[in-house]
Amino acid sequence: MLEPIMYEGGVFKHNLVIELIEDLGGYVLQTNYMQTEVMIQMLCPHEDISMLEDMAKELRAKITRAPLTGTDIIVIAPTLAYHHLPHHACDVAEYMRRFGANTTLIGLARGVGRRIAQISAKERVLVNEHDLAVFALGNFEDCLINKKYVLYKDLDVPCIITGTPELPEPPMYAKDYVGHLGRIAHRLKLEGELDALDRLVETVGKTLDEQRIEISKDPLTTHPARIMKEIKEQIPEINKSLSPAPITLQLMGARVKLSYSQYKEAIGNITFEEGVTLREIAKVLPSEVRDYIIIKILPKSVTGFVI
Amino acid sequence: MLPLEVFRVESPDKTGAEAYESVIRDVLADLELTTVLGRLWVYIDPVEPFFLFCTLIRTGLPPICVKDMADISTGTPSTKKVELKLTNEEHIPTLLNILWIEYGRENVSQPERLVITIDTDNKDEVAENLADVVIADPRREIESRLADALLRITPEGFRVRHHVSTGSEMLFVASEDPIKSEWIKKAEDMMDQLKEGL
Repeated sequence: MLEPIMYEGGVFKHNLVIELIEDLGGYVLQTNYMQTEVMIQMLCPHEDISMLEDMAKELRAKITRAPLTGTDIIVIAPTLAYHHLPHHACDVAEYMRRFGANTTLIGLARGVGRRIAQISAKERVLVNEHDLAVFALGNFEDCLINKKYVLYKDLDVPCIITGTPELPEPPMYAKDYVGHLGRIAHRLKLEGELDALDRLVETVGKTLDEQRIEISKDPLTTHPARIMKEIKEQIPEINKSLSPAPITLQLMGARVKLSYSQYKEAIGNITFEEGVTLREIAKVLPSEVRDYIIIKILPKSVTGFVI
Repeated sequence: MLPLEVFRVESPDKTGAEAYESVIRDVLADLELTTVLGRLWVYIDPVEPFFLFCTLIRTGLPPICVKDMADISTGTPSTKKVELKLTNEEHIPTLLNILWIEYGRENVSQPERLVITIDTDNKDEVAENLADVVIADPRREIESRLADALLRITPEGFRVRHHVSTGSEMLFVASEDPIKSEWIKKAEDMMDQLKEGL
């Protein structure tokens, strides 16, 4: 089993860590350089973590388990107006990034109000492309319970709602609810607010773990990280992408930041050393995000094998 | 009237009202309005739904005229210019813009940091007219900041709005449905109570 790990340390000799992970059969998902510091997100085999810990100790670096690593989470504000941004919607998105998630933030076109709140079909398709949706909603219990569910009732992905009141149970159609994170017009830095963010991360991690267990009942033909590795090796153009995460991993696939019309053939033709092509084990689809590509890996029950 | 001597945020939803109070405090602080407002009473009913905002504005600073920021002199009788010796540098860009529009760029010069001269044939008339030209009006600026604050504070979906604004008070009603007369009546009652000091 691969364990999601975040490495934070100096740039000096960090390539040793990357080599170690590759030798152990893990995957490096993302490397961010911040002047003399480096942050590496990786998947490391569970039984070899002690080797990584030893090396981190030697290099005076810090390694932490990052439960949200390799997940694609969308944070949704009712609109992009200053009622919701930059605080608290951006703070929520940013905080989850610290735990390894790739977060996208969107504002709905007409998500405001009570009777008038709505979500468009295009927005719904976009949200369904992610692993999990976090709705950053507001202050009033009546709105949260009786009105705002229209935004997420038809979504296929699990939805976690944030708001001010403490509710005994999540609003209908929502997977979970986190209180004390309603409309806040300042940067979330007070003790209670950071606690609420921690609870949100914990809730998101728990929901994702449940999804992982669900997926493991009918395992994917291959791990998304392996697809990422093969794309990096077989399509060199991906390295020219200016995006910090040219390939965004998801629980059941990946989003590749290359043009669908230009690269769909090349992506489909990626060959694994077992002899199968990506086209045989996954669906290569156009993403709703710009003209990117989304890959959905087929489960074992469809392909009949696991590589 | 002291700054924010009355600050009430009320709602049938107590937790919501507390959170809203924090939002209002943040917005007023961001827009530097805390010393401008004397008494403030906000009422939100999320079920109906409506939002009432009543405030009394503290009388602020008077408008700033040219004579408040400069000594105007016409010099010797033979010179054909008006000279402004600035005592306050704060509003120079606005002053220059006004002078350029009124007397033309070629006639206005600034030989020194604190001196502006205007070339003109009838300098006495210019000097007299110039003295009372308003350069900045803090009250109007406050009004625009207050309008901005209201838009930030009001729940975003409440787009049907009614407001009554005089120099010293502001009454605002917002909802996502057509505004009912009883809501306006309630806001007016609140305003009357605010004026009486509660």
